[in-house]
Amino acid sequence: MRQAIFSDIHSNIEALQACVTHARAQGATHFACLGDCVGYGADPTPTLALLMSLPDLLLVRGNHDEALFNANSINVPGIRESIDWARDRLSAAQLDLLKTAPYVRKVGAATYAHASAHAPERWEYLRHFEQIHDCLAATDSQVTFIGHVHVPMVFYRTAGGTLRELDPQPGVPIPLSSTCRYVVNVGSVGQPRDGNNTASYAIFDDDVSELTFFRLPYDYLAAGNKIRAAGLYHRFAERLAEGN
Amino acid sequence: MRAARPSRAKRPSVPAAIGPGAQIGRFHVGKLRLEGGMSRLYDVHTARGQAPLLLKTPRLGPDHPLSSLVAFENETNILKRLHGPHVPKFVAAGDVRERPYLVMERIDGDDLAQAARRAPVSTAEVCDLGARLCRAVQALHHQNVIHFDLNPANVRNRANGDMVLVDFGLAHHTALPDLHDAAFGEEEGTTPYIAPEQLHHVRTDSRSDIYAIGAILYQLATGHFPFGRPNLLSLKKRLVQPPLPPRCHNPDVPPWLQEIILRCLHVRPERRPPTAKQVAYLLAHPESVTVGRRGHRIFPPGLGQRTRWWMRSLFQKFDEEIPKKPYSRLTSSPHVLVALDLTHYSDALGEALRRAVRRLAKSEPHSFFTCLSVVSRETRASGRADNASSLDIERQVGMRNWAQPLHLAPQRMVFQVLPGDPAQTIVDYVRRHLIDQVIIGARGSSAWRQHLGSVSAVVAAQAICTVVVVRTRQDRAPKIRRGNIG
Repeated sequence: MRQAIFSDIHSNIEALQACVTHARAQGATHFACLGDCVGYGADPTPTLALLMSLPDLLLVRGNHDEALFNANSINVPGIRESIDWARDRLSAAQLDLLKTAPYVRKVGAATYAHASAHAPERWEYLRHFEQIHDCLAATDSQVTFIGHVHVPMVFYRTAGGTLRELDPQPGVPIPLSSTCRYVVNVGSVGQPRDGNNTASYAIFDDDVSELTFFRLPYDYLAAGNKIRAAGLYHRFAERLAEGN
Repeated sequence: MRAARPSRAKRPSVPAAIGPGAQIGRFHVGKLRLEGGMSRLYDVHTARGQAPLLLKTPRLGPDHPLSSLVAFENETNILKRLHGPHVPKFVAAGDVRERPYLVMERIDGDDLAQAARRAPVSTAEVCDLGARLCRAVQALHHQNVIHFDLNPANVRNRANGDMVLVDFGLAHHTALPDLHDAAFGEEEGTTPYIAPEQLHHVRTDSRSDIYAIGAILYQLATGHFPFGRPNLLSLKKRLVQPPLPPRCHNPDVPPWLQEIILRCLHVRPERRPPTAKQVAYLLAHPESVTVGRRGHRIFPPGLGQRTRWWMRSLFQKFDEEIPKKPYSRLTSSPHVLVALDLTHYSDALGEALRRAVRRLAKSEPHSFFTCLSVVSRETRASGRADNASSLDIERQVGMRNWAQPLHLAPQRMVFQVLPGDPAQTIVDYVRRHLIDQVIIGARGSSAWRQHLGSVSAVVAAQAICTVVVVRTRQDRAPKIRRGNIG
């Protein structure tokens, strides 16, 4: 099974479309979305429509998705408005999909969560080894896929218990050893923050136990212009261009 | 990094044993060739009878450590991704979880291991073996892999003399997870050749392999390991000080070779040559080695010096803040050839060439320059036969005079005069010494160019590296000819 894993799309249909087209060309048959489908961007409805059309979609809840239904969960000016703006445009079916999405899902040898498998409702940003240890302790899966930080990263614990980090190279398959356990941040489709403005996603092939990251250029100017035209916070458009 | 917690990774079940006579897919397992602590090596044959092959399988079972499987998996992952003449060709591999085996090309030559057994060997042989080894290590680093276990037993050679590196159980590919784990009880390397930073569990520095090259050269030149018998004391010593000067063991070792060996064996990685290619170049060009005090030393260092080393070692750290990948280290330490045509030299062109060199020397602080002047056969023939060496000296002086305003450290620029056709000599030199960039001046005068042909055009077309052709401002100005105005 080749599964394409997206995260943090943030209503950016241009980026999502580029990733879906690329993933299909790479032979992806299954799809997963690790939350934060909305917020920041100006295309929540087409984004959800495209996601719902994907076969075998596995979806978990992100903090922006939760904020659609909880007025107190994100109170940052600009972001709050973009979430309220999105809620007014989403259909009942789309809202229902996001409302019923779980925090964490475990399928086969993999666990999927937006922020962490440990206390997912706290929306921690997993950057430190202590947090990775907690995440690994919360599940017995060999690999845990996360997003939320908007930066592609691979953490792994070796057979001896040493935790290390790998800087994933786009297009270079990473073999997953049966002697290690992994926490994989697939990066962000719709708002990368590692200084690289290309959309990030990963394909997990569980037949050969390999993971491959991809970075794809997309029309970020069009996505940014839509944000400005919708009257949303202009900084969100600038961030798409900067990749930060 | 935090202290180890018990991993939940499951130990794979012990797979079916592989032994002589077994048939694995298209491979028929032959005799046992080598049995080590971690793995076994068998000859294998196929019905098609292709080139000699070798099958490697980890030693598994309750009485063998899981680390043998980890090292095996690491080697399989890395070997699959390597290519070129300096590694054995990967042929096939079994699923690590079900039937772990690795089939690869068998390389029979063991020049280096043989020389290590009969060391000390002649300086010429040390240089030949060392330069060939460096080329193989350079090719490995070029693919972002650090070996971490270079020793004479892990270096084979093909019939054409190309060295081949084997046993990637401890190696690290920077694009892959590093499965090696010291906390798990795995060795960091082979004791006599292990670099100080490896003892601090630093597994990101390609200069650890440069240290191992230095240890191998030391052994070949003296017949001794750098720190004596491989034991705990020898490991501790290398964290503090360099080894005894090779000339203490063998006075026949020339100072320039001692200088190279001790540079490679420096405790601090940043004080070693940054690339294997630079070591190969120095071994091939002894005249270009700037020999310091350590090169001439023939006695062990005094108590004062040893105390200073010990004091310094108390505060040293080996972790790089942002580890540099081997390939980026190669690209940020370019070997640049500056081709100087002293017969058609002008001050303006000389200054333009210096500007180009200065820019590169500043932007790439680890760059290394060879200044080359080619004496064509016609020029040589036009002088008296006994004047050939004085012509070379004249060229050397001319080049040094040109380079003086650059104020580069002596070890960053060497000078060489070679006979032959200028363009072809430069192109051959680039190929032989894996030059990264050529800086060459364009012949300004069209009359000269028409008469002699453009050397820079031939070099730009044929050299297998970046070529920067430098022109002066006058050359770039459009030529206004009568009749062309208007």
